[in-house]
Amino acid sequence: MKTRRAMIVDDSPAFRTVLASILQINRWEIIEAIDGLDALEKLEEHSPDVLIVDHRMPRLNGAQLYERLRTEGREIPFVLVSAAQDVHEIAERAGIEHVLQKPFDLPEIEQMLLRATSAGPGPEGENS
Amino acid sequence: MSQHYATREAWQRYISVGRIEHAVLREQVRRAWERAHALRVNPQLFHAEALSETETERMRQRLAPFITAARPYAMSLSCAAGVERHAVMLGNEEGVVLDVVGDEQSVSGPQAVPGPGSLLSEEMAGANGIGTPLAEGEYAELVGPEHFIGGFHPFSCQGITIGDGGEVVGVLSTSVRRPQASQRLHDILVCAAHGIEAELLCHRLEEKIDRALSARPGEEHLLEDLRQDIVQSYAAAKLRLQVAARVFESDQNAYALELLRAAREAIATFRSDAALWQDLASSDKGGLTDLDLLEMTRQIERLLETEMATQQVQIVAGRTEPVMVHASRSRLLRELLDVLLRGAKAAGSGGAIVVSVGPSSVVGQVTIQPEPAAGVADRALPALRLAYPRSPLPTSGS
Repeated sequence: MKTRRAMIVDDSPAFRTVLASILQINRWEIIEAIDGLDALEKLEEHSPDVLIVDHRMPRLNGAQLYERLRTEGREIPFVLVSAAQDVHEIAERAGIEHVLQKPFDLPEIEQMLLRATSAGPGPEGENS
Repeated sequence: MSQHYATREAWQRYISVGRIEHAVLREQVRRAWERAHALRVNPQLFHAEALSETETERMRQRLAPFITAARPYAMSLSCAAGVERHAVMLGNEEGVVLDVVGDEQSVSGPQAVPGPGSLLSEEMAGANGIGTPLAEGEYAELVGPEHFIGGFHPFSCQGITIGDGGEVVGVLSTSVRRPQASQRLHDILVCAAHGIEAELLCHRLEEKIDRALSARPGEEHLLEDLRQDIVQSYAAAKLRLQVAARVFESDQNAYALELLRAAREAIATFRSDAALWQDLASSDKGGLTDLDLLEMTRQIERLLETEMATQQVQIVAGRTEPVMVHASRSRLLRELLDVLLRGAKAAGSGGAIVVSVGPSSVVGQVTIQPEPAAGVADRALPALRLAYPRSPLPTSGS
């Protein structure tokens, strides 16, 4: 069976660590990035099956990262997570389909990943 | 003779002659039996009394936010119990069972635990895993015959109170058949109760944000951003506990305990940051009190960690010395927040602020020195200062 890879993009080390431990229990391979720009750099070397991205981050936030990926025509399933009260509006404005408000429960993120990866790519390129 | 049999005999003698054998019972259990005795609870009851279905449903609807907040934690405890026969029960502040999760036998089998609507206060059911924590105001454990009524003797129960806004609002309790299983669940039960308290606090922060924003116009984004940063630490703690529960199930206890410890620490940080946020969001001026200026400054710096990272400004500790000042806590915190943010704005992206705290002759002083990124400014930026009267020294001999 092919190993699934997830990239966790969050400036909080505590959140990255705990999400990584959840996914590793479920046999995912993990790539971590500390913000949107770091994620873009790491995406040059890695091809994750899904991106789990916090919204509020230094340098490049979650919605901006999504926009950059869409502009570059890169299609990777994308899950936006945030503690913002208006996270669903942020996601809708950016065109992000999969979104979770923090704090969320373990089954919620597991189901969300299943949905995101089975639904196919997130950002749709201009030509897609 | 084992403690179990000695307690069982003590219970039987109590049935026969109505006398409590103090020497046999653990202190907490003895107090609970004495209360039950004084309240004339019938020890030979087999079932607890319960509200009607309609009354129960009405109560569950009224307390739905509490039940919903507690459910994921109850599920985690149930997950950690694994294949043990078990039930996790949530009670309200009066000892009425609101919710039960567990294995089918324990929840709905012929020897099920008391279900929603059951009245488990000590007044109604004597010493038990819900009524006794409420009566004692803290964690309590009742093993087998330590329960006051005979119908509860097959169970080992433990419960811990849940507080919200300084008041006890309920109890989280586990009920298992083997005392060893109860001990195994102890740490995760305590952590889960703290998690539920954090969840309730989290909801309160959400409710308060609108009020805070109308009271402090112009600070909308800042207060909401800080609230998000605070919630972040709780969100990580909640997931850690849920992972710990899964790991417990697979018997990796050392790793699970490590996760629980980290979750407890994160919940403690969340509580302290949430209290700080409430002070900042409040329009209350507050009375004057003695405060550690250095500690207050450290707390605000920690709260601003993510905000500073987002603005790409580094906080650098300058010369610091503890100093007690006499000031209004909420006003001092707000002024600290304001001066640190003004310093960060002056320093700009890639810059730093050097924060010094210490006494001068009659005041305690905070100095913020903005330092722009290399090559950005050709002259030093002015320092920003806050000063508060120092606390009077304690009178000798008083």
